[in-house]
Amino acid sequence: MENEQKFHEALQKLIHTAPEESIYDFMEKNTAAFFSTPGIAAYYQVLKHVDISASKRSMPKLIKAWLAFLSGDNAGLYSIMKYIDEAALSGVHESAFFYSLKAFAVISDDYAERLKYAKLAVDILPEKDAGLFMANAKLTYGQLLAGADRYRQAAEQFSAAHRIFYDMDLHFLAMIALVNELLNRYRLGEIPAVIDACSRALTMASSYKEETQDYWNIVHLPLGICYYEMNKCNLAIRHLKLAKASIDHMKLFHMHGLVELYLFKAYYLVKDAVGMEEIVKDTEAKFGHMNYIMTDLIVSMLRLMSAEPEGSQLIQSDIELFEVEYMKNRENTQDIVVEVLAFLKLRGLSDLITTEPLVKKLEKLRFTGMVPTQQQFLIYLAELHYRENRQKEALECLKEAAQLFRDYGICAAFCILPLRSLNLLEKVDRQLYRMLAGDIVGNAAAQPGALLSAREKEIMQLIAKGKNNEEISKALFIGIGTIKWHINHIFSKLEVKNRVQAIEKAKSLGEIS
Amino acid sequence: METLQSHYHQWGAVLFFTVVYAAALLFVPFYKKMDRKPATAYLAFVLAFAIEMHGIPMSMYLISWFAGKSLPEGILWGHTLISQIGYTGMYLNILCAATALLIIGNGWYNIYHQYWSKESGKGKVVKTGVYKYIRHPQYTGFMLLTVGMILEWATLPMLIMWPFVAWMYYRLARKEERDMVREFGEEYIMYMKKTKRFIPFVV
Repeated sequence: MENEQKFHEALQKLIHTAPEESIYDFMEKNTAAFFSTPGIAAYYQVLKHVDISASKRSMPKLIKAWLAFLSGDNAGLYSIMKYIDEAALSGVHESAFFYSLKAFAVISDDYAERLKYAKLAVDILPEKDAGLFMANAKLTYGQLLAGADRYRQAAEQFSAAHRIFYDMDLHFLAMIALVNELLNRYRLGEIPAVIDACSRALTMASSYKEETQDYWNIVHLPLGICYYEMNKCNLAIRHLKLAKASIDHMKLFHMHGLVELYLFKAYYLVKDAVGMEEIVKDTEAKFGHMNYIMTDLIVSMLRLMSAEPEGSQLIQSDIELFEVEYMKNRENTQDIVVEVLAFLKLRGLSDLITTEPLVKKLEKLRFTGMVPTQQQFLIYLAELHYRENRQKEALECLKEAAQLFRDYGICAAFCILPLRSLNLLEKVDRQLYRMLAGDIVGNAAAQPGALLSAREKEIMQLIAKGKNNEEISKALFIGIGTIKWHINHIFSKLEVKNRVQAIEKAKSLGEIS
Repeated sequence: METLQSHYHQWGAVLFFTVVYAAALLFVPFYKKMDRKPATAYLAFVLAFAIEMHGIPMSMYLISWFAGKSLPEGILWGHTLISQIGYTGMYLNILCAATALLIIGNGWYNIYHQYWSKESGKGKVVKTGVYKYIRHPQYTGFMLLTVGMILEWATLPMLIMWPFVAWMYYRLARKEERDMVREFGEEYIMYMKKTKRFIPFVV
């Protein structure tokens, strides 16, 4: 952080003392320094009141415009953009820098136009160019490709940007590019590859000086998300917490939303009510004032998921928000709207959605390759079919969802809701079925109020089925002595004397079903 | 035992082999114009095989005329390398043809029931049956059929034509993959990563 401070001070000193031209010289000479730390907003504050409109030079204007954009000051951005004369741009670097920004800043409903500018910025530079502007152009193009659901191409652009930034020793930007690459590869289901890449990056980061280490903590974000999808929620929580701390610390508002969402989902699966509430409060505070539909939806989703079914009166407005969004856009509505409405339908809180939009969405998700959401939708669809007595269709969906587990190792989506169709899964994929049955018990064990451990619950379930010690030992692959030991513990925890009492007590406490 | 002379001038047999081998083409859906070119090449190959085996060994006469002496049996006419391997080539051909027909049949069955299924409206990426391992079973089938023919009764025109036929099917396969990626996007790309083009686990 030392260099950052020095640069900030030098900039401030210059603004107050030096003539405009030398400020511009300084800006042009130190272009990389402006963007290579999370201190972007601070630099923008310093430059905000420098009137740059009269200058003939384009680069200082471009730098200021980029700073405005990255600080989230859209009004400032548009006013500077007005003063940038496209015809006065000199050289490919300025042009690329300009078109990248224009891709973000152009006011247009036509996403293709944005993509066109972003691509132009990359194409305008010589192919071998490996400088700041090429990396920036690729980073921008990657963002827009990802926004257009072209994850594979996006990941390629991010990867190239990452290499360039890394070679230039711009660690903050290299990290941003890497995290974006990995998030897109995660969407494509490349879970093991993402985990490996994260571990490599973290190993490397640990050898750096402390100041850059904080940046690399963001790599815990894709890592945590992958662990979550693999239904390793406790591990996911550990990594996502690290990522969240760094994101909060550096005020990277572009990364907000994602980290909260997955951290919340991980808490949700381990039934950690305190953690869930913490995230809900945190997101309400962060996004409450933004009035941006996507963040509103996320906040509402978190509130909906953390609410108990009895308290549905409190979340009625959140339910209605999703219903309105869906009725407004129908087929073109965001994935999250369909996902939440399906969730609500299965919980009996909203009856709006039918299987048809889910099928349509799935078709699109298969095309774009968004694997985790695909699995989630398949499972909701299976459950909807199953509840409406269409066993064959339900089975088809579960088969596909189980195939995604076999191909990519993801299964968290199976645990979001208690599934009535889960018994069908036993026929589809026995191993997955047993794992999920075990995990649901395992996750519940982390619940603070739970009396019995996961293993004890498993044994209790078998006792309730009338199995004797030998049968239990065979089913769980543990010795009879161990079973007896567990049963003694169960009896003492439940304060009972025999099996019949234990079954009754466990049932009344909700420890077994 | 058949004699060599009795092998020729059996136009019924020519017709029989042509029809049988050409029938394999019926199990490949013709939905784009480009598909016909490799099919034509394949048909020409089949004709060359049938005519030279059971009709008139034209290329043998031509080569003998050029060279000024007749070729030994098994070299560019007659059962391939008969003095070295006997009738092994023929048995191999039967094996190839049987395998090929199985693959083509299975490929057709899966395509017909999933990609072209009319009642469900749109088709989907076929990943079942032989498609679990290779992406172009029908073309693998044709390659097997033609290789089998060469193993049984290699002639000069067939040896010249084979690389062209193979190359055309290779090109067709690549073009179809591009079309599929356009139609199915990432789903097909991911499917491509899990499968081979023609030979399971190899290429």
